[in-house]
Amino acid sequence: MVQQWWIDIRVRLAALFGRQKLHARTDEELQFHLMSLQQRLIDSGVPPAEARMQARRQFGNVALVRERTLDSWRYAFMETFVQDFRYSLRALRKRPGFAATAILTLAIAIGASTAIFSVFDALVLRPLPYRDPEQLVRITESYKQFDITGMQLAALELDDVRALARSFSHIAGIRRGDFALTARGAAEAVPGLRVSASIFPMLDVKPILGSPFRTEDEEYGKHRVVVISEGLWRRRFGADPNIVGTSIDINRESYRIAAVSRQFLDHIPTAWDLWVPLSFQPAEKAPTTRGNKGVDVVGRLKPGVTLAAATQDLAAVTSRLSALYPEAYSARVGFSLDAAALASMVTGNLRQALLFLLAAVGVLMLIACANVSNLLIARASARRKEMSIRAALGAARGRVVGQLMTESLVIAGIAGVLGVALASVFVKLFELHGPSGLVPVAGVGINAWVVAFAIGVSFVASIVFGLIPALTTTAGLNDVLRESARGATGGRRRFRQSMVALQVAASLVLLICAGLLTRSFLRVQQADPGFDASNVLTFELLLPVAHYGEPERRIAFYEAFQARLQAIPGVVSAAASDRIPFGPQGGQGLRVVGRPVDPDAPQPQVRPARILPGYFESLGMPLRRGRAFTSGDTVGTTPVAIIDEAAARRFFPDGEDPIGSQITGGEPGVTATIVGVVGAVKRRDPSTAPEMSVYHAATQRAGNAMTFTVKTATDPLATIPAIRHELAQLDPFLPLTRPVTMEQRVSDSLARQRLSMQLMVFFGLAALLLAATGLYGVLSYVVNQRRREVAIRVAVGAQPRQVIELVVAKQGLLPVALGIAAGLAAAMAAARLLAARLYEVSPIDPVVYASVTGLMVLTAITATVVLARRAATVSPVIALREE
Amino acid sequence: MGRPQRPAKDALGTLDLLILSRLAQGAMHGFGIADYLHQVSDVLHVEEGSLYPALHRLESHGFVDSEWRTSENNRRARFYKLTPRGRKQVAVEISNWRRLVEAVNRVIDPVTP
Repeated sequence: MVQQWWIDIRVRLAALFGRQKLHARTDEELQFHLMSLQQRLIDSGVPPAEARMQARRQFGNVALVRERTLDSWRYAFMETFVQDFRYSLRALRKRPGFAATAILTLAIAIGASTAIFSVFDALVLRPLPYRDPEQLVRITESYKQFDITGMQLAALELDDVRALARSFSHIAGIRRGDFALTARGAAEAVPGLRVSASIFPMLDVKPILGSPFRTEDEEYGKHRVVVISEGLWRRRFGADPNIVGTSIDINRESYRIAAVSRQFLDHIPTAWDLWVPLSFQPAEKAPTTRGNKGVDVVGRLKPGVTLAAATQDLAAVTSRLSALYPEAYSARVGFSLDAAALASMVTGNLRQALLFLLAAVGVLMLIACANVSNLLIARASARRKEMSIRAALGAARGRVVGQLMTESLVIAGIAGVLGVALASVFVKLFELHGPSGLVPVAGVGINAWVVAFAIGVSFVASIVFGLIPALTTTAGLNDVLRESARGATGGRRRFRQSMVALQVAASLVLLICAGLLTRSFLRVQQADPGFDASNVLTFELLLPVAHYGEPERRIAFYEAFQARLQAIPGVVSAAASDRIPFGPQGGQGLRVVGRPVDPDAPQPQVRPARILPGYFESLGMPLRRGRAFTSGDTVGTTPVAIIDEAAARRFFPDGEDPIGSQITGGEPGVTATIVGVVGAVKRRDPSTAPEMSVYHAATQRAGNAMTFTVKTATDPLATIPAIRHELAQLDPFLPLTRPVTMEQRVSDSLARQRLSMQLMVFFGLAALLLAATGLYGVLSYVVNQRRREVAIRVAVGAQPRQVIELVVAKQGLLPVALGIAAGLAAAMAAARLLAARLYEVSPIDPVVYASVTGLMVLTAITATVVLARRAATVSPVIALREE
Repeated sequence: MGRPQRPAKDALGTLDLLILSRLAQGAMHGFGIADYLHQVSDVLHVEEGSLYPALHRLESHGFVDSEWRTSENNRRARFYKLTPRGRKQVAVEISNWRRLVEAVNRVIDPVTP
């Protein structure tokens, strides 16, 4: 029979895709026939011209025959398919309950997979919405000695790479900037970038209005031109078509608007409101500034140049630089320039997380398929008599299988359409209510690829869930009429039971992963960050260089503003730092004066911060030794520093007192005396150990940007209006930027973990629901099969409940037990992959495994009990009469 | 005429039966089958062209399979042969046909002179 099956497939493929071949074949066949007729006539003595005519006459109308011959193919194929299709729709309509359950089950799974895939597609498969994205690379540097990779470049290094590297058609520097639109009383901080002019041709950015700035504009002094975003143009300027050429005040300097542009470089992942030329003051390019990193560099490879070739090219640049500037790049620091695909920067660690989620929805999909498979089997058993009659009437088994598969395809098709609709709803909901800034959602959506994915998934699913039921139910059809239709064959019962075991196992895996992530997340949330985030408001201030050029002016402003903040009713304490926890961080090397440093050992990085007096108080950080900064530490007094316990342990390991020691490196070019030791805080990730910090007094040296920390007695957000008022009193041109509570900052840093945990919990619960439905279905099937036996037992005096529980326990709970065993084993393997993402939770955490197993057992028992109750109420008389 | 005749689901037409019976004796091309039909009977008048729609229809239903081979006069010809399904169908069709003939005979027997 295998041969016949193969022939059927070949025939259909030929009918579907082989039209051209079929035409040629038919022509040749008819030609052969005519020629043979003609030849025979000639052989029997008919003159050739006459023979030709006679052959045609005998054959009939060639064109018509050809047409009808070809028609028989199309018709045959369409006929069976259309017939099967119609029949399937009718069959589904006849059993709306079955159809709805199967379709919904699949639609949810397809919707979830498609939604996750659409994110995967946008972020991992097509992360960069630019021409020839594979040509875009990021140029970074590394210092092997400090174990630093992926570092930004210094301004001078950008110039060097531009001058020396040969592999790139464009190279551009990018730097985040602090920008405020400074209009009196309507100051507003806006996100913006400082970019090289070459970024526009590199990324093919064509402005909506005007034209972008040019390389000449990068010269300091000519740099006051700006490209504004379409969003800002509409929001702030009412989409004024004559905006180009007018001026706006940015950081209290007047900039000429050169162009209005759509978003670009928003993969970082924020939308930007403006772009200005990346220019440097002469002092920023002094020979000593090679250590001042901070420029992101991207390049576009020349056509045909590979990443490997570019890496080699950069290696040559590295050795040139080392030769030219030996003092900056001594051999032992292990300096090198590296190139990496820009796409990998966008994708980053998301790839792993998304792959894990895709695997999870894959498992969910599998459970849904197993469920529908089971439904189909149960239904097919009921229809077995009907099918056996068809078989007896001459329908080939292949035909019946084809019919059943068409039905599966119809179910999957409808579910697929619903699934895509669900996916677009999921994506929309995520866009509206999901955490913002977490992923660049701009590119996420339902496109042709995503639809193709959904179609593929639906099609594969229809085969996965349809084939085995179709084959098992049609096996031995001819014997059905002979046997009493009651007992299902052992094969099918085993199949159903193994489907239940599979569902139980798969949902156990998902639930355990969800459980582990949840427990880990709770642990992370409870983890002590080293400071008290409650009732703390944070906000940023940027002092425009144009008005706050001298350090004394900045320090005077900060001190005056701090005093005003502390006077606001409800404020417990107020201070500021240029680097607060869960904000952007910097890194510096640190040395203790007078101590030899092993030049070959990797040098540790510390996190520097300049703080105002009272900062530790505002964040509840404990002072361990010495003193905190006071207003007595001024520009004129000895530079002072405070290190945290982590740094104290590392730099003073033998229990020496750090107080009084002198350090360099924390504040470039400054030697400071340690006056205190403070508790260590986590600065970026609550699930990692605190990094070493060194604090300097902002009253001695202060930059232009500060983040204020205001501890309040009650709701910190309620003090914002008062703070705005005080700020306006002091300087009406300054915007209050990003006012957000400290708790929110910590929580935002967990947004990604929270989301993947929530998604896993959702998948796990969906899986549990599906598995429970599947189990219930199988149990009720078993009970129905045994109804007569049960009825007889009840009739002779057995307690109905006992009997049914016996049957159910044997038939139904065995696969659950097997599924749990298999699921626990599989979960342990899966959890190992998860281990890196777990915080203070073992991948084989007994609490999670026990509680999830308990949940599964409870679900199984509930299904059993509900069913037993229902079945036991059936009167034996009715059950016996049914047969 | 544009629409081909729909083959009956469970019973094939007479022409189909004749074709299948010929192929039960071995593979043959269309011209050979037509030849055979002419030889075995003058009563069954078959327009030769109508053989091809029937052959292709049988193939599209998986009763016969076809391939290119070299004919006896060294020309390329499409040869048809029975598939497993076709072989079964011949048996079914023949017994159906016998039953039909018998039944018809029984009906007309009393009237025969």
